[in-house]
Amino acid sequence: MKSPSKTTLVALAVLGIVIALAGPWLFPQYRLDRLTLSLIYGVSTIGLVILTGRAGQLSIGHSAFFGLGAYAVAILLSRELAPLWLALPFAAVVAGLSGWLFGKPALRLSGFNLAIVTAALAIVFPLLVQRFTGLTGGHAGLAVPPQHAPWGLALSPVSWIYMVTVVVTVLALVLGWLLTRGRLGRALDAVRLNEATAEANGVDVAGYKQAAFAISAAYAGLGGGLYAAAVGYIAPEAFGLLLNLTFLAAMLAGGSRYLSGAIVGGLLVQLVPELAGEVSQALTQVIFGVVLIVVITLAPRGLMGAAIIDRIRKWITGVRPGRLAN
Amino acid sequence: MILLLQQIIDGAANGALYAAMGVAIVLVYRATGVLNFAQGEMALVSTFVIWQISAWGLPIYVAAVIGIAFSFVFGAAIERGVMRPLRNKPPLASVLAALGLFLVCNQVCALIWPGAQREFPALASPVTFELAGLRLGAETILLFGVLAAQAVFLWLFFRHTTWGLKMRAAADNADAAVYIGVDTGRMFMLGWGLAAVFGCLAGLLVAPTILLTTGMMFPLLIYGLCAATLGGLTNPFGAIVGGVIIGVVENLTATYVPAIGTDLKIASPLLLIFLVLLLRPQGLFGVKQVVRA
Repeated sequence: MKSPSKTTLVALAVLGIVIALAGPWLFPQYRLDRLTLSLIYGVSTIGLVILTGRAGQLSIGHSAFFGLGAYAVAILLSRELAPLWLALPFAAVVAGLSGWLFGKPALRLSGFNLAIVTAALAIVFPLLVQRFTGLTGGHAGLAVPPQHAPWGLALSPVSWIYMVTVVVTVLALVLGWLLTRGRLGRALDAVRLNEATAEANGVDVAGYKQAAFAISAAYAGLGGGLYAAAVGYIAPEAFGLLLNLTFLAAMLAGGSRYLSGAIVGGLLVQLVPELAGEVSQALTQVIFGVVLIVVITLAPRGLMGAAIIDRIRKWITGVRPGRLAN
Repeated sequence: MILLLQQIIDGAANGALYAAMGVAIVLVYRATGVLNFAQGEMALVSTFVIWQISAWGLPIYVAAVIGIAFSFVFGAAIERGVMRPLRNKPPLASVLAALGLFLVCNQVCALIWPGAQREFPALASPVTFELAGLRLGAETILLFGVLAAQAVFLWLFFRHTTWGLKMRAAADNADAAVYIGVDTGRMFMLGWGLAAVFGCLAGLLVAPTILLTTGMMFPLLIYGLCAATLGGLTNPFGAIVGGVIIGVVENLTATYVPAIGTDLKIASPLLLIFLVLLLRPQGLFGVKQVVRA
C-alpha cells in the first residue's frame, strides 16, 4: 500500500512537470532559451552531486566531458548521422566511457590533488579539440542544425528543445534517484565519510569511485549534448576551465547532497546573473558573487539543504528528514 | 648548450611568479583548508591599487610597498569577514564563497578601472647583461632576487619566529593549538593576509611583462595551483621549488618538443604533475598523511 506521503510527492512531481512543460506558453522565447540553458547546467550538475556530494571526490574537469558530449552530438547532427534522440544517449555513453578511463588513474588521488588533475583535463581539452580540425571544425567551431519539432507540432525550435530538455531533466533525475537510493548510494556515502572504514567493511572503494566518476561524466556528456542542440553552435572556448566553476557553484549553491539541488543550482547560476544584468549591466558579476556568498553563509549546505526546505519536506511527507554529518 | 641554459634560466625566472602564487595558495590551504579560487583576483585588486598609486605620481617601488601593505589588510579582512563565518561548516561551503569573491573582485576592478588594458610601470630598467653567451635581463635578475627573498622569508618566518611557530600549530591542529594559548582566529587572519601578500607579489611581477588587464591573474592562478600541488600542499617551500620546476619544464618542452608548441605549452607541466602525483600522491615535498579509520 502506498503511504499518503508518497502520493503527495508524486502528485507534486507531476504538477511540477506539467508546469515545466507549459513553459512555451508561459514565457517569451528568449526566457525559454535561458531556462533551457539552466536545465542543461542542472543536468550536468546532477553528475557532480553524485561524484562530489555523495562520493566526496572533487572534480573541476567535467567541462571536458560536457564538451565531449557536445561535440559528439554536434558531429552526429550536422552530418545527419543520427537523430537527436539517439545522439543524446550516445553522447552520454561516450563521455561516461571516457570518464571511466580517465578515472582509473586519476582516482588514485583525492581532494585537492584530484581537483588539480581534473583541472588539467579541463585545460587540455579545448586545446586538443583545436588539433582535430577535420572532425571538430577547430577554432571556427561547428554549427548544429536547428531541431524542428516532429509530428507537425506547432512549436518553434526553441520551444521544442526546451521540451526535450525538460523531459531529459526529469529522466536524469529519476535515473539519478534510482542509481543512488540503494547499494551504490550507501557505498558512496561510506567512501565520502571515511575511505579506510569503507574499505575495512568490504566496500570496493576504488571501484565505486571509478563508477561514480563514470556516471558523473555521463551526466556531463548528456548536458553537453543538449547544449550543442540548444545553442546551435559550439566552439572550443565554450568548454574551458571556467565552465567548471559554474558547475561547482551550481552544485554548492543548490546543495551538494541533493539531486534536486543540482537543478535549483542550475537555475540559480543562469538566472541570477541574467536578472542581475537587467537590473544593472555593470554590476552583473558583483551581484551574482554577493548572492553566492550570502546563499552559502545563510545555507552552508546549499539551498536544498536549508532548514526551511527541511521543514517543507516534513510538511509534505510527515517525516522529519535525517541529517547526515559531513 | 647555450640555448638550453638560456631556456632553463628564463624558465626558472618565470617560476618566481608561479612560486609566489603557489605559496599564496599553500598558505591559505594550510591555515584554513580552503581551496581559494579567488587568490588571483584578490591579487588583481592589489595590483590595480599599486597601478593607481603610481599613476598618482608616486615612484613604483613606493606604490608597491603601499600596495603590499594593502593586500595584507585586504586578505586578513576577507578571512575575518567572509571566511570566518563558514568555518566548521561543510568544507566546500568556503569554496563557493571563494567563487563568489572571484566574481566580485574581478568586476570591482573592471568597474573602478574601466578600459581594456593598462601599461604597468617597469620594475627594472631594460638593461641586459651578457655572461658567457647568456643574456641576463635586469628583469630576470629581479625575478631571481624575489624568488630567493620568498624562500628566505618563509624560512625565517616559519622557523625562527614565535608567530610562525604559532601559525604552524594552528594549521596542524587548530583545536589543540587553542589549549596551548594560540589565538587561532588571529593566525588564520595572518595566514590569509600573508597569502594575499604573496599573491600581490605575483601580480606586481607579472603586470609589467604583460599589460594590466582584469583577465591577467586567472592563468597565473592555474600555474600557482600547479606549483602548490607539485611541491606538496603541506609545505610552502615545496611550492617554491614546484614553481621553478614548472617554469623550467614549460619552457623546455615548448622549445624542444615541436609537437607541443606554444598553444599546448601549459600541458607539459600538467602532465608532469599527473605523473608525479601518481608516484607520490603527497607531492614532491609534502608529508604523507596517515589515515586512521
